[in-house]
Amino acid sequence: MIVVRRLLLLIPILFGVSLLTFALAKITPGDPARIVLGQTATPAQVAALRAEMGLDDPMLVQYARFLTGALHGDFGRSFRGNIPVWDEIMARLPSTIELTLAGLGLSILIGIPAGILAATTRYVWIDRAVMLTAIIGISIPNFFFAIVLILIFGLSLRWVPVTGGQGLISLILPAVALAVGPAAVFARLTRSSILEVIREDYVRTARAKGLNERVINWRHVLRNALIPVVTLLGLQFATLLNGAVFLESVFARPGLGRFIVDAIGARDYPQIQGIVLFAASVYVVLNLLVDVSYALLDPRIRYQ
Amino acid sequence: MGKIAWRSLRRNPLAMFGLIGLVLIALITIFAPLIAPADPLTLNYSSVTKPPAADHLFGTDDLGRDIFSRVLWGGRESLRVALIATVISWTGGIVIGLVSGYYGGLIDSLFMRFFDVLMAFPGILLLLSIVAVLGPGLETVLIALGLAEIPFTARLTRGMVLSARNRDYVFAAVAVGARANRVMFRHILPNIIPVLIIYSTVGLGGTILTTAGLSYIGLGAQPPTAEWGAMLNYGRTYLRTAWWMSVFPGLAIFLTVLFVNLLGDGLRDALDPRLKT
Repeated sequence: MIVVRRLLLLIPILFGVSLLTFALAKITPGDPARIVLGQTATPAQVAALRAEMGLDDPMLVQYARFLTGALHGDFGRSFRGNIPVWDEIMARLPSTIELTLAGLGLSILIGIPAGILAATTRYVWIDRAVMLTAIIGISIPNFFFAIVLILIFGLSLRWVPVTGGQGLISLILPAVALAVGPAAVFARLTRSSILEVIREDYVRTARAKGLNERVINWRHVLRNALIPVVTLLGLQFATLLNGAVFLESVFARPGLGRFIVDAIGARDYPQIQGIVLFAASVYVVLNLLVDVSYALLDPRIRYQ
Repeated sequence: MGKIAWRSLRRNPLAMFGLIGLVLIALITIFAPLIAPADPLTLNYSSVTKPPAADHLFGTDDLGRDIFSRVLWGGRESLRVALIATVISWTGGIVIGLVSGYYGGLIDSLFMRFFDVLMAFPGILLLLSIVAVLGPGLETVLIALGLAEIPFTARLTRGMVLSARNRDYVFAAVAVGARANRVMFRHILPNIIPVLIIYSTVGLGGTILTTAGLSYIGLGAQPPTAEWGAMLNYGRTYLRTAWWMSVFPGLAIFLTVLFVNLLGDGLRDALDPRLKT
């Protein structure tokens, strides 16, 4: 049930996202035709291009054109270079996906076991140490952590190339820098979730039945404790995108994050509009997938 | 409630550590003009890219500016922007949340559906979109951060108003003929504001990080302004030759956010011991 309801909710949300993205370009000061042609163009040339770009049409017509275009993967052409924005996005997407997946994978691999460790050693020094590390991980800016990593492992020890480079080795530092914040969040949530679940009646029942501790921990505690962690997965995608925006310029990676920063600097509105619409849509769909998988994991939610 | 929270906070050494650290940083940045040994913008070509030493505690940059002084002055910019942005987002959020939660109906639905769409955007995209419209700059970042958080602050306030609306003190106020404005601002607001202040502290760390981050990627403070994120960005070019240009502003951001988060965690535990981390 919830799956269908969430799918139906997707339509108005994506519609709203497209409307906002369209409005974004419209409320921005400056005449796009003038930006394309430069300051030397005559008013007649600007007027001609305005007509050609359809900027004189009623807003509703322009929005309809924008929406149908976007649905067909046509995000218009960039001011810089007059290249289809969709192609520009696709060219940079792999680099961002690579970084995001590496960061997400690493943060799960570190964060969840750390949270389990802290929960099983609760209120003794191991727990305290893990939690203190976690709050440090949440507080350190990933772009500063990246610089520290570069200073230590790139410039002092020379274990990894600082920028550029090929393949997996060049991914290590950015992925670690990106993973530190989400890993800390996962660790904290996993720990508090486990501590909450072990107080549940069904855990006491399992223990009273005489099940062995391994079965209780894995099947009863962990499976239930990880449900909120899965929801967080969707939200962490936003944090990872955040990281991509800040980190891609530190490591000179040609990804979407750096692309939008450059586009804003150059006031290339078709590019900005395209990236925002694309990334927001992906985010909405990913969160939907997380919600659906969450419902599949937990029958209590499925039948609500 | 304030008293109970304070008692719980005082027993939490990490939170007290955060509070003291934060007060120290606040004092240092407020009194930066008195403490800083040099002007943050004055160039001095006779001592360029000097490593940390007794006369320049944090060293100097490629233009001979004293990094220690710039870090002190930089805190004024970073913290001012983060604080004002927090005030904007909470003022906006509290007003909308109160009206929306108290009246309900069409107003409420309109606001909430609009916020649904805004919250469907990953936060950074919303921020970048506002910066794109207004053009890069520190004041832009301030406005963008303030506006982008309103959906969250409004939702939180609304939720608390909804549960407060059915309390006896609200019924009593309505029964004696208090107007809606009075009920909202004089009866409900004072009751929910301690919790809202705690949430605003919890969120402040993230706001400081984002302020610095946006300056770091060149969309916030512009050179030669001394601001932590912008200094970090500037120092990046000199990473091989002058690590101190990046490390000290970075440490300043990190420590400030750490203190805020330690305090925020303590406040949240004081508010709701069940959430204890």
